[in-house]
Amino acid sequence: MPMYYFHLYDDAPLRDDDGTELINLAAAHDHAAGVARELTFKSADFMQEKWSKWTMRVHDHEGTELFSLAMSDFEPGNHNP
Amino acid sequence: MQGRFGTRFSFTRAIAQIGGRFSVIGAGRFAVLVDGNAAVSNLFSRYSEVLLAEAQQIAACNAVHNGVSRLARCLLQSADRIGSDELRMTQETLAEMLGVRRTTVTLLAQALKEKGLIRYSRGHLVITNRKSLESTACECYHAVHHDRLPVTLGIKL
Repeated sequence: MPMYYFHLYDDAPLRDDDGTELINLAAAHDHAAGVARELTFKSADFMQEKWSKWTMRVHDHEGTELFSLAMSDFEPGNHNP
Repeated sequence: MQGRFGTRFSFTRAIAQIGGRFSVIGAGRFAVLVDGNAAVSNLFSRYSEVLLAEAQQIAACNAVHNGVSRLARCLLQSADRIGSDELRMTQETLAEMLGVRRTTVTLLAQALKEKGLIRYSRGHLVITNRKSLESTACECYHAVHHDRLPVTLGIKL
């Protein structure tokens, strides 16, 4: 199964170097959304920065960006996509 | 705990998260020991109360506190239990303890690392700034601190 890497960027990334094995891109989207919900749970900001400054970027094993999520979409009180 | 009443069905499966030295006693023998000795029986009751309070606090914590605070709390509690700021714990173990995905633990740990509170490599985590990690942890860490919780409850262990 392919590996997917879920990095969290403001100006510089917090890197997910170990990655997660997932069945396909749809599963990677689900996983990203799940992680985003867990990170934003009961959390008004992250590392003293508003969630609007953070983006999750998902890469494949070659480092190619596959998709990204705006973390502000998952903020408490927002309608989750 | 569950051996208190002798051999019967165990409600939980306990997993040792960090290696160390353990003592073992059969459930039947343990029940005889507790029943036959007032001091042990007493201690056991008091310890059970502390354990229950801790479980209640952690259940509440998981429902209302954010990931960074909970991870900080979890690391500090583990370090206190083993008496060392060096923890041999995998991110998978931490993910299970916190009820989140392993990816989430990775990103939370990276955040703590960026702030200079911890450093880690494969399965080996070191608390480098305890004071700051304690202020990052949620209030639950202080509420269930093993030195303070018995005192808070008015219990002498």
